[in-house]
Amino acid sequence: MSRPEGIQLMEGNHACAWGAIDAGARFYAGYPITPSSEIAEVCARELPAYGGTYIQMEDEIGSMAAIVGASLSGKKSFTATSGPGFSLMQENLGVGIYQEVPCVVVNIQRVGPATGLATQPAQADVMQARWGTHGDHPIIVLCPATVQEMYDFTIRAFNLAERFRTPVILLSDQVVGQTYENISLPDPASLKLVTRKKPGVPPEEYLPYQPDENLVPPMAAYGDRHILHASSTCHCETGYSNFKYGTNRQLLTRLKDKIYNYLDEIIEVEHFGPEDADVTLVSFGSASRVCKYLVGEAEKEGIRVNLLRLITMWPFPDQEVQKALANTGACVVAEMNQGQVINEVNRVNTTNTPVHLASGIDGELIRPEIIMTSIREAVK
Amino acid sequence: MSKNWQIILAGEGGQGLILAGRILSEAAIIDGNSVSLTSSYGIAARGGYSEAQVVISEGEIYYPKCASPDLLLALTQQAYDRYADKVTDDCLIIYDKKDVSNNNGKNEVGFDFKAALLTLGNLKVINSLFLGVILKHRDIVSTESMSESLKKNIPPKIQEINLKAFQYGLEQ
Repeated sequence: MSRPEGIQLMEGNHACAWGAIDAGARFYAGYPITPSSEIAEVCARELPAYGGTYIQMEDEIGSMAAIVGASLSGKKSFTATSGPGFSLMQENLGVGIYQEVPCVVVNIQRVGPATGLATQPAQADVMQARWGTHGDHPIIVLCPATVQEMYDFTIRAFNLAERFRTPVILLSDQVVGQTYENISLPDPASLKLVTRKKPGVPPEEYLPYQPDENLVPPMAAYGDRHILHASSTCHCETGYSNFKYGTNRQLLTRLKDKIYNYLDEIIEVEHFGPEDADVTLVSFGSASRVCKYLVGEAEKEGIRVNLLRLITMWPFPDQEVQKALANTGACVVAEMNQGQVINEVNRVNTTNTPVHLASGIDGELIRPEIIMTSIREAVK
Repeated sequence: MSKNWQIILAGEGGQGLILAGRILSEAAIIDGNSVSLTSSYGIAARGGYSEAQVVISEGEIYYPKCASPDLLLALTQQAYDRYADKVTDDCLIIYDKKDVSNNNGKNEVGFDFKAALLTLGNLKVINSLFLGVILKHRDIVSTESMSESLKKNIPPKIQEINLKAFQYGLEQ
């Protein structure tokens, strides 16, 4: 197989793998799990031809450790998994965040907890993606909804990871990952790719955790003349352990600020439908596609509905949601879980706009009638 | 070929339903349309319920599943029972005459797939055959695009018999 040219019928997971390859990823470590396995399949088949490496690890704990290590060695690296594997990755995801290691973790969500309704779709790892690893930490999470976005957002995930020196999660689901749609891959040369900033000082002056003006430390690779030391314990600018009072506060504050001071580079939402509406739907991923369909269906019943789609899930688009709530009669949050995003929506609901939940937990793409029922309730 | 289409191909594992969905989808892309293909199947390679859903549209596809199918292919009783009561009167149901009974007699066409396969001398080409039957009744994609897509998706060794089966279905 070679890189698909022209308009193709392609699966979301395949598009994700090609997005990673086009973004410059040259290392994949993973443990195959449905409904994400096709990402591993493409990487196993294609990465060697690009001078890259594919490793099937013993489990997802090792997979996450391997991509952190590969990235510290200078490679753009990633892994893909689903619920049970994502749980196992949490500890080393925290290592990646604390050591400021750019990498991408793809989670094709399925029903849980545990083995769950293998391997049907869900969107119930929203909070796990935010807080799954222990300790205070920021995280960037993107939610694709189409096959095209599986490609585009994977590239964006790598760019954000490299720009902010942090792991980025692509939070997809079984519907988006395993649906086939027409897609046309762009010329890789036309892509705008970001690569981590290298040290600009002589090796003897290099401090691996001394931040630049944008709070991100330039990054050497293992094996460079610039010595990189990365520790999973609290560390100072040398990268070595440091337990002095104030060091942890300084480090955690910078880790947060390096992302939250640059939200305009990260937050992305989509507005769909009429500007003025009786009901605003808030949704993401595959559920947001059902919402788009319902904008037209509700119109037939005389209800004006629009959609605020969360493309960036974390950091949460507080301002965008707040503004949407202020400009609508009522809100329906449509998500394939028992209510995770709705709590975030309520957190920023300063206008006390009525907020309803449309919850899909049946192991399938949320049915239109579930959301439509909530829309009708919202305009009662 | 300017209409939007929602098609469900339902039967059991081993009948090539998902490959047929792929062939139909790629033909629709050749015709210049947008496509969404989803599938569901059990853990067994043969037997067990299996289906492909194909949505074809001139514009962007929001809902990737068949909200209101225009055509249902039901190769087993289970497949028929799953959808026959839910589809509208406008939906054409093509069912296997030998395997499906208790029909509601609405907008339906029965087809004896087994007999046709015996005539063709190959029991494995059922998917190419039903794609022909579908196209005979509904102009979903052009026959040229379908032939091109069949050739692209089926190994050279068995292309001839599959094209023959497709043609046979088209002419019945």
